[in-house]
Amino acid sequence: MKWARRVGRIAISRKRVAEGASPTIPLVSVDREAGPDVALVGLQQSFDEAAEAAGGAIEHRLMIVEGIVNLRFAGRAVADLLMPAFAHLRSSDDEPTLTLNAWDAATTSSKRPAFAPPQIVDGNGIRPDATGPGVSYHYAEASFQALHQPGPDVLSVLTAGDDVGWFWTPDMRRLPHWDYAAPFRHLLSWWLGARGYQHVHGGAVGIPSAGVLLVGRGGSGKSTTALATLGDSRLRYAGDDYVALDGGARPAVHSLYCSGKVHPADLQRLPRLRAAVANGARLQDEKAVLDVQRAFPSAPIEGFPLSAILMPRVTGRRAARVVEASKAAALSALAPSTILQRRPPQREALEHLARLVERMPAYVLEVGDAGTIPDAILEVLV
Amino acid sequence: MTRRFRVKSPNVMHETIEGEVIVIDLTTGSYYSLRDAGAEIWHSIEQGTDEAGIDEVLQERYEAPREEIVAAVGRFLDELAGEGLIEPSDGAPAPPSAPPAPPQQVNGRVPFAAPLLEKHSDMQDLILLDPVHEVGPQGWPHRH
Repeated sequence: MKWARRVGRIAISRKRVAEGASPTIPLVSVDREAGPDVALVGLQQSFDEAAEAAGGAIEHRLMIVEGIVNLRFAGRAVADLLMPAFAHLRSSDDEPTLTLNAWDAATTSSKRPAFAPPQIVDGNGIRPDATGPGVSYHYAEASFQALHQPGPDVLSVLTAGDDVGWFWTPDMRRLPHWDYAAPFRHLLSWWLGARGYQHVHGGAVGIPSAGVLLVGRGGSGKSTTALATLGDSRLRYAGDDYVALDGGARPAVHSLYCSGKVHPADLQRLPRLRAAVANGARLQDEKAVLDVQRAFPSAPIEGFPLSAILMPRVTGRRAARVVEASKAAALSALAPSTILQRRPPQREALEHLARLVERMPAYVLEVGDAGTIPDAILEVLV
Repeated sequence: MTRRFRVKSPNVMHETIEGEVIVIDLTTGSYYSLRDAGAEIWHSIEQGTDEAGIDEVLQERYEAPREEIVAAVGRFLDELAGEGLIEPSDGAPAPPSAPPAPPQQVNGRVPFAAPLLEKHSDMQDLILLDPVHEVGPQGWPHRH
């Protein structure tokens, strides 16, 4: 489909949602006789069949936020699309606490899993666009929770024991850029929450002994600030959009993804990022997705103790500088976007984040020329 | 008869940090900041204090004519209710929680400034364009 036509449909859908109408799609009964376990067995069978058709499952056992996660991809094509975001994480031979199965129909020539809701094929569905997934449906019961996003048609399912998850979409090559830049985002946020970590909307950079969390709504300069440190050998990179926080006695940041996202126009301001662009052919429709590990192999870091919260603010200054700020402002910059981006929104997160923020110094980072950002951040760290 | 309100749970969530109250409305995506007299009014609502009681709390703390405080409290409660953050409550007062630390007092009472509700709407688009719906046991929605 031509992009312009697609945009036209998006406009209609957005208008309808903006008017506050609930989806016009009526609820219909699924066969409850089958029971939840049968649903999960069916998902696993669907993955196994796809993996077999694609020449076998490709497995990567990685240390993600102090837990071992076994990522299982149905074939090389799926692995090649989702693995780059995790390329900086250590592998491990230990027993996994979580196994995630990822597959699609198109690259494995397999069928749509029976558990996935019937595909919405016409303009009545919320179509994916360049900025967000559209409507999400969340379902939870005793033995699992599931999320379906009909726009991009992405299904995420996690057992209630938080030990096995499934991630499916019809064609992994058509996954929206925010999903392949941060794969399994919702599955990992559920799993992390169950283990006492917070999956937060923020970037993080630092040195091995201390780092800053960069917070603020989309467009505040958070991502650009994190990415402006790439190529500066003094600072390491833990993420530009989503990281995990340990809010315990010694607050710490844990990296999830070594990807980055930036508006194509900002590549002019940060020309050295061009070497990291992973989706050069799709920049008409998407933000530039950066493969940080490939272009800046010494930059990614698994995490660091958290020492301050920074709120980037774009100013007309030439040289970036940090200015003390209130903790309430830091909480306002971190919590609403973290909580509202969760699927479903997580109420307990506000209290956890408040208790963490009140123990951290908070600053506004008045962003100036990109080259002056690392010095301003290091001033807070050392 | 005096009015009594309660926080509109569970969609309105709130936390206090360094004396400032941050309120998030999950239904609209708006979030708010309340300081000083605004934070004290919020804490009083949480404790189930009725409007007359809130007037008293503020008169003990602030140096201002009674009518000024009464009018400001009334306006602020209307504003909070108008934003959908609180709703009328006819029940018994909620169990008291720890009251916020009183502001630093000068000669017993501090000068009064009318409470302000600082509203941020930058997350509203997310709620409107990317809403989340809980699905019941009837299963996934789809077209006939």
